[in-house]
Amino acid sequence: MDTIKNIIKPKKIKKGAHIRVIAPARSLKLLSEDTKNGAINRLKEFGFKLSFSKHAEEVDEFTSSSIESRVEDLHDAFSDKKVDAILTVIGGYNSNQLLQYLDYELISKNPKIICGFSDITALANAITTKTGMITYMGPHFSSWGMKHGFDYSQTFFEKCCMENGAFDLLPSEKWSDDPWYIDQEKREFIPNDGYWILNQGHAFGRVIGGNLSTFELLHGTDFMPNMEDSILLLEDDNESLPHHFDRELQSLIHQPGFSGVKGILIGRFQKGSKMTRSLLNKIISTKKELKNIPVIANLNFGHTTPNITLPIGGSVEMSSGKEEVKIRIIEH
Amino acid sequence: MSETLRSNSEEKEQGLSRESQQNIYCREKFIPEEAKQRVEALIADFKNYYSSLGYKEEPPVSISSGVDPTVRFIGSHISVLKPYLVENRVPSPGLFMRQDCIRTQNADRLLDDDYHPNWGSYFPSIGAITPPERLSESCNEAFDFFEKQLGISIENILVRINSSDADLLKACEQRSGLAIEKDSRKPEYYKHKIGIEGIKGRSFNIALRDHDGRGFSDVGNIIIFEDAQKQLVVETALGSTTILKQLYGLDHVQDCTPVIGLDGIKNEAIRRKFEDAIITSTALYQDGLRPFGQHNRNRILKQYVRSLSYFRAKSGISIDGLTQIISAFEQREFLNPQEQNAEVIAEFVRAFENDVFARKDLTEDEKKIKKSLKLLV
Repeated sequence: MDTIKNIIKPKKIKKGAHIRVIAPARSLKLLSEDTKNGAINRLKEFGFKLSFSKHAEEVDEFTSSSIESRVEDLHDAFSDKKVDAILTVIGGYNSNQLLQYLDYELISKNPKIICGFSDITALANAITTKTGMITYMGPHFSSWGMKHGFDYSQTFFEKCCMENGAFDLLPSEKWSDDPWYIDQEKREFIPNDGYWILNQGHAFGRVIGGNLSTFELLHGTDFMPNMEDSILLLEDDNESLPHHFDRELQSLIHQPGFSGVKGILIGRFQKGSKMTRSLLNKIISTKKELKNIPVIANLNFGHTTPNITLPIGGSVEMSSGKEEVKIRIIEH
Repeated sequence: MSETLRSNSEEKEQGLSRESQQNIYCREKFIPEEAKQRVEALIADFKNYYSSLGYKEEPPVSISSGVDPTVRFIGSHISVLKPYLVENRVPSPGLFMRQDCIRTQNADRLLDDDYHPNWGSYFPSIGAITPPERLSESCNEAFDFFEKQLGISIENILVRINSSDADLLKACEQRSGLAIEKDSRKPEYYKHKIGIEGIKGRSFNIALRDHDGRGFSDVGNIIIFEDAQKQLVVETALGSTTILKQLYGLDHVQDCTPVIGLDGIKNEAIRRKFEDAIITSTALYQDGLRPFGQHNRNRILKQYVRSLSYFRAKSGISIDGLTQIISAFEQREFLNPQEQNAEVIAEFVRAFENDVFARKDLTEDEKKIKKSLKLLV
């Protein structure tokens, strides 16, 4: 586990910024024309200029592309002075293949916002660990293709990637777990029952983590973030059932340095994951290592929508009493 | 003196008329808003002078860069220049540099109300290295810097030296009119280590007369580093803020990096430590360090940031007020608008305060901070 590097804050972007779309996990080809064009239109209407990496549409047997192509695209995006920020197309399964081939010095000398989630957890945490640069867990390029229910996501993308001040994370009024990319008009929005306070307490620390099963891939590697004074983000998709989440969390607890985790924020589970509040409560309450740290769940991040944007390597203060919750992003 | 060597420091001894308000150097205290300009002018004088002698400039590194693993923070330019002496490749006539430094001697005693710090933690260091065979020339160059570049009369300069250091003594004795104070300090005062096994330094210290004409105070030294076989390098190390303190009759070296807005604090020890905590926290945040983790650097920053709560409580200053004070200091001292951290520091202070009220397993220092904050409420 590496020591904590001095922080590098990428420059915030403004309307008019040039965003490069790269595909470090699955290919741009995976997206339907409707989703792709919807994302392009929304980003352009918002005021961004867009370009796509050279190999974004390359596709192989894994709906991804070669390591060389993905590494080249990522390096190009960081080194191109005309590019202000980077969005990943979508998640997948293999962005960890890139970690040993990345030029972290090039990245640290050309800091810029890189944003995505799910499989991008590996990339984001590795870049932060190796360079100190804040990376962002937030909407992919594809997420911007959502016609309805994206306003909350966009608001928090703006707060985290376009503004400087600290901000509080407030729960969305509604959420959704439908396949919006298949039918944009047939949407099901569910009232949000708010944050789930699983453990009370106060904590303050550096943000690490993301998708749990992807974060696990970093264990024992040089790309695993130092957990000292950290606030751990955890989420998983519907490929992960409660028993998977339980054992993966247990595995994380067994990692050296876990005692440095000061608090845990858990993203909303998809319906298909079969996770319930009581099951999650049982998972958390049976782990003695978590007894004295605050744990808050059902946050707007993960594989449901809408999604907040969170700064990996930034800092957050969390506080949970019997009923009240405060989650404040301090540095991003 | 050539045009290029003419001092950027204003108000030389000659030709000034406001003698009643001026000290022995014919200078007046400067106002806080001018401090940054004065410091940078002195550093520019130093750089121009050594550059004119043929020395090459070495670029500075970040204070918490860890380039010298033997120290927590860069506390002297020699940390940056070590590779040249270890690898025996000190060029002639030499190298010079300006290096922002932090020495954390105050960190452990910030909450000790009886402790009054004589030194601030943060300061810009100026210095040069030259091959050992240039000892005599380098001493003369340093004395010339004071006399010719800064316009300080030789009678206002004193060296403190161990008489057993014959080579150093000889170099000083060659300087006409220079006062030499022999063996007035304990032997350790003249000795130095730089964290490299087998390498030691011997020095004499350069002192300038106090502004009221009474005593002398150290502003730098010339050190010869050597191992068992040979002499390795001669280092000239000067404190820009200590020089300015003497020349302008400042009350404290921290008046060179003034924090405006703390004037109302009657307790001088609290005020100086509060200033130190603001200056040091801001400098380290600028450097990208954050008070997270168990590494010594991070833990020390945590001490400074946490002490801000104690001092603001003792001084009755709100977090918003503290933010404004830090912001004004940061904008004056660090001229990079992309990297203003005052609000972030204030948010950290607020979070630490929330933490001491929420947690039960507090350290003694945290209990003391909590008690002071309770009184503020």
